[in-house]
Amino acid sequence: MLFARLDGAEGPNYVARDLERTGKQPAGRGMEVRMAVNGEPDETGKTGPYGQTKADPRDDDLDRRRRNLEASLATRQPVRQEREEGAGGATGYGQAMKLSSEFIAGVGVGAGLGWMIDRFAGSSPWGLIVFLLLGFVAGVLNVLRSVGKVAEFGQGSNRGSSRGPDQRR
Amino acid sequence: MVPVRRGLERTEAGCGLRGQQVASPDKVDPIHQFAINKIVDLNIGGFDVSFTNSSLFMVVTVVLTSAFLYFATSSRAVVPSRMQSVAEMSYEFIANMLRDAAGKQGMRFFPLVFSLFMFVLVANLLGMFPYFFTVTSHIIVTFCLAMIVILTVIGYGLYKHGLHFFNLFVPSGVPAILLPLVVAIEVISFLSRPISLSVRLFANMLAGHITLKVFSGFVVSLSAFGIGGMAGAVLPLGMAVALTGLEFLVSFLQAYVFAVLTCMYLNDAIHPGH
Repeated sequence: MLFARLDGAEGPNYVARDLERTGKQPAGRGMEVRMAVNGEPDETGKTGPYGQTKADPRDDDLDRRRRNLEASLATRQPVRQEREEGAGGATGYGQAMKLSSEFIAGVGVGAGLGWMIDRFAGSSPWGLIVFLLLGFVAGVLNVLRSVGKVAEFGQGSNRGSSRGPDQRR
Repeated sequence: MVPVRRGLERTEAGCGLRGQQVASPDKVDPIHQFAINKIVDLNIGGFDVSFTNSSLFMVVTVVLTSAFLYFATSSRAVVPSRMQSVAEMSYEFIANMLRDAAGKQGMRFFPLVFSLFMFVLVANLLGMFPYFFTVTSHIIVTFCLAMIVILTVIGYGLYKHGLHFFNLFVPSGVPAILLPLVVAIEVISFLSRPISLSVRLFANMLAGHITLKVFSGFVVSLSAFGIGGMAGAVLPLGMAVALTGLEFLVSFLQAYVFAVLTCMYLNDAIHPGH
């Protein structure tokens, strides 16, 4: 009973730790089944068959859920990797080029805007100072955005990323 | 392609000086390959609109792409020939990319994205031939391409959504005090898009071609030192071969990246409210 409850609550971690503690090889479910069939008490103090009949459906359920989770993780994972690879290049060279151009563009545009404002408003050098700093921030934002750490344009961080960078392709 | 060429030629007037500095033939000059030479001298209304080697390769790119697509699709066989299936693959490639990034509504921009992709790809690949001019290694060309994209995004966004388009710069859930700062940063970030789009393509092509030239130059200068030099020249020669492969990869990848980013920016114009 206890076994079943803990297993249900803790998931795979519990099982692995448990097997380790009893000094047996973590050979999976087959081990427990054999243990139970032999009628020896497992460490919860209960003899096998009773606990086993209770534990079995839950284990099946857990297994099924774990498999579902793994499958859904697997469908998610390669998509992101593929996108990274496609956008950044097989080598780090492409990635470096991409990120540096994002950053330089941010700083450059900020400096350019500040310079133009100074020129037309005669506020030299304050426009350049302020906009260079803003441009620096925008460059960092560009870099973080292009590696998918910040929400895309027009969506706040609290709205989730329904069309976030990792789901776009 | 007209605005591209016009923008290019206006700056070529400034670049003309560099074109006249001819490198001595015995010295390897890695920059020399980017020099712009006038083929037909033209001057209309005070603007230098000469037909240059850059213009020539743009025309070659456009003609080659058009001719390829025309002849590949002219037979329209149910079972496609090799040429036809390459054309169909490129269509499918861009169509899927655009549909994934911008949805069904994005398909109205298909001609734009497809033209940009094919132009950049063919220009990059043409640049891989020895003695050919690489059109995309000049920032003004890539900048004009990027401006076409961004102006389309802004124009279509304003036409479709009116002032609602500017919600793009106002992220939700930001405290009112921070809003002016955040909006300023977002605007700068948006304005830096054409710059980063053009700088990325231009810098990749420029750096790749210079590296290739430098390593090939090592082969030439080393092999001038006799047998020992020739043995040593094997290393840069291998490097040059490897870099050539890498450059083909980069050529394709940069065209792909350009098209993907175009799709993503167009998505902002179509759905600014996300």
